Amino acid sequence: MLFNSYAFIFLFLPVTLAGFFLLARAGPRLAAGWVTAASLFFYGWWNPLYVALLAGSILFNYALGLAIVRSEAAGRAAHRKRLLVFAVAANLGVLAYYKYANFFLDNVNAALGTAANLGEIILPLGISFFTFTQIAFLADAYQGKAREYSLVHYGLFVTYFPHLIAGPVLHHGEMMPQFGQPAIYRLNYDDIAAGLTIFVIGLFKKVIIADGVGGYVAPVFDAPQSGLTLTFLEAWCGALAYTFQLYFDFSGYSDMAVGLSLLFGVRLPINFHSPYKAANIIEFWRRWHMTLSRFLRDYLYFPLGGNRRGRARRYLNLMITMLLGGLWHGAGWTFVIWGGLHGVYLVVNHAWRALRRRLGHDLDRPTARGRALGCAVTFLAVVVGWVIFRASSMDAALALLKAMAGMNGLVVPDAWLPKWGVLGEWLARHGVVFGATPALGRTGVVHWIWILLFVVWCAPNTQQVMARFRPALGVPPEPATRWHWRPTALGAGAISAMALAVVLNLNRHSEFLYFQF
Amino acid sequence: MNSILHPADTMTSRAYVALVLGSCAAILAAVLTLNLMLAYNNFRHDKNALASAWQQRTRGVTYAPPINDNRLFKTLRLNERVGEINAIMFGSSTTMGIREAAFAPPLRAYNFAQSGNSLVAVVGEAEYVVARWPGRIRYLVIPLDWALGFTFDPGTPAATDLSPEAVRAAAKAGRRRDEWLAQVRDALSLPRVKDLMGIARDVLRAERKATAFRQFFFEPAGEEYRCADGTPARDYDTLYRGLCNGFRFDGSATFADQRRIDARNAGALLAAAAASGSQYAMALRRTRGEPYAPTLERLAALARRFARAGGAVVLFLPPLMPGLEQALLASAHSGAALKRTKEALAAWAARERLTLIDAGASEKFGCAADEFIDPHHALPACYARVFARLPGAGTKSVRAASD
Repeated sequence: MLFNSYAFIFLFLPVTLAGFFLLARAGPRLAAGWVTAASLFFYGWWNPLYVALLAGSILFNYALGLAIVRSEAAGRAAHRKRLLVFAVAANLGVLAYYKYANFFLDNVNAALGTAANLGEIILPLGISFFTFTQIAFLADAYQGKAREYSLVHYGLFVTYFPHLIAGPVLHHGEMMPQFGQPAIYRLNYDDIAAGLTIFVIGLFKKVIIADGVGGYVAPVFDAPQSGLTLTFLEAWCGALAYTFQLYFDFSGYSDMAVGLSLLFGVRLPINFHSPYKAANIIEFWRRWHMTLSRFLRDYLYFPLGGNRRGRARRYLNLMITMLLGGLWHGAGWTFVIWGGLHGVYLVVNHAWRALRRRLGHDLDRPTARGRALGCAVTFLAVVVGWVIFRASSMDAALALLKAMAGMNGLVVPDAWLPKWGVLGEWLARHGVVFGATPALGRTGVVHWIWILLFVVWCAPNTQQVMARFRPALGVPPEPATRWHWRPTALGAGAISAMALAVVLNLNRHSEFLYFQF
Repeated sequence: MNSILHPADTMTSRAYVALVLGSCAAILAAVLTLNLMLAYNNFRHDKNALASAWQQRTRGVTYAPPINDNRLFKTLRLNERVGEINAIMFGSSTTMGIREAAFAPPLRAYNFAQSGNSLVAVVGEAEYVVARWPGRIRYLVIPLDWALGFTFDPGTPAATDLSPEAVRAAAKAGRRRDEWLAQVRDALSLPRVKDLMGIARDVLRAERKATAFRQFFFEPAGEEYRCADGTPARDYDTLYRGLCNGFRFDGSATFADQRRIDARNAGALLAAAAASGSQYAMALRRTRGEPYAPTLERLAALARRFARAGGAVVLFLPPLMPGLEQALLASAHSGAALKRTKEALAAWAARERLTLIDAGASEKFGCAADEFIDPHHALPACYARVFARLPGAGTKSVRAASD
């Protein structure tokens, strides 16, 4: 079920919310069980068969986690380790089968000239998210950081519908204590007002902005395969349109997840914090998909040795982490190369910082100009990365990047010539080529781009606007913004208008981009 | 109790939630109810039959909604009119601007053009007409509309039945009532809400608001009124009321819901239409300007059959806004393809000894930009000029005026 669907908004959510608070009167455990059941229904709406896979995964990991905790209490260290290795291997095995088996076979077939085939394997929605969530639980159980939880709370932690399909990647340490608090089972209008507002903002980002600008993406990214040679402007418009589509799609989803959870009184970790405002790539990864970055850091980068084994090893660890992070996003070489590119970015960024420190620069006090420059460079680097991320193949990505570099000429859409009047004629006389830009189709994308650039660089984000209500966990401390939401009649009118705009545009609803990861 | 909120204009969170949910629910409920009422009222009446009967009685202007799905209405009208005409004009909305008066008196024509009607479909319809009404219909006027790609589109004309029963049955089959959830979705969609806003505006502007509301939501049509030229009109749709929008007695469209091209914008419109990304350039590029030979062969065979029975087929390339065809011919992106199209059609018509009027360069017929509503929809004044040169059922290819 999609958050941006009639079934979710008008049926699932009201029934689940009402049932939660009504059953909470009879007992918190009943209410938690209700939301768990509702979450399984939410998941099964897509494909009921995979509910069994999800439920099996929960029971398996809960039982193994419990066994690890108990064997620690019994002092059986070797047994504990064997349990951990078995459990993690089983989780990764299931993930590998569903997500990577055909990718692996395709590459083996290509290398050996064989034709091995597993048939079509349908990727269960959210498998990467619920697998990672539970691996973290097992690892923490092994390290003694997880204690014995009730099955109802554990089931709710894994299946909790606001995060189930596209994150954030939850950590048991920040969720389980909340499920145990009596306060979340009581109707709290502050939380409901803030949650409703954040949910509507997220819906608006997804339905109106991401889906709106998304219409310009496919014609450009599909052009190389259709034999069209992209021009400079076409390629940049397509790349920037995707850059904003992904941003508002994921940001919208993250807001919706936070808002929905807040309706139930539960605070999710922040997952998205104005990433295009980052002044360097290290900061970018502290702002984009923050819970995945945290997972990769805590459960991959640190165990590899992090930065404790010298500079060379640190850079190697970074590359390994980012390559696997890229692969996590999908079974394809473009994802791996995208991850590797970001690994290189991070290595360069760390090396640059080390150099500047050696030169005596104070990295903690950047100048406004330096920050703006860093922001622009980081943004461009990220856009280049998204081209590889979105492209169907490396050939298509290179064709687009070549056009972005101006190697196919700087052609301006000929439809603009009459609009620009005398200026257009003057430019045409002075060598500017006005010609065919078939991949651009409608040129309205240019307006989307400058407006959205302004929004992502200059506007405060949802968490900042809603800061008074502490809607999410782990929001980085930042200077207060002037825009603070309060429940006023004007605010209610604005949110109602946004909600109505969304409902009237739900007919063209589309999936979230992060569902495929 | 709201402990974290202080400023004076702040309401309680509870009141805020009630206001947001209440206002959304109230607005959506009103929209849903009114749109479902409109939908029910539409289904309740056979508006095509009512509008057709009213037009037969009054010779006025009308149509049955929706305006872009007019096959049933046009078919009912054709069957009513067939006893008093001897010519039928075919085509899509492009040719809906052709009035009966565009032709010299021996031709008594009905404009049977329907929205989105392709050349393949037209050939099927013409074959039905020739078979069904031999001796009664003497002229078939058929467009070769390359601008919308119809001349290039592949396909085989299907056996067509233009009897009212068959077309009504096809319309009924295609207009299956949606399940209730789909109806709710449709009622809450943006286009429906925009339409509803227009209706609300019309009701509020009406002198007798209660009557206007009743007519919109409970009755099949508005009141009868007069167009500027004195022709009676009646609106069976809830949109465009009072505009004299729809089809005249001769089947031509009034295009009253459209604006003529403004001379001040004509240059920009022409440039956009001649640009590489325009639909016209795309149609040419997509097909390299190669007409679909099997359709032309089928059309030629029909023309031969019809000629043996004493009839004549008149073919024409529809007029485009002045300057557009020349601009496309001169363009690097579409010039070669368009040249190929025109040459291929002219050679085919000459070979088959068919009358072909090439009106693409409408300026050569004296058409002006303000005789168009967009680059390919010409108004009656332009079509009158185009068909003024029509020789009686000749066999030679007719070229543009200055050729």
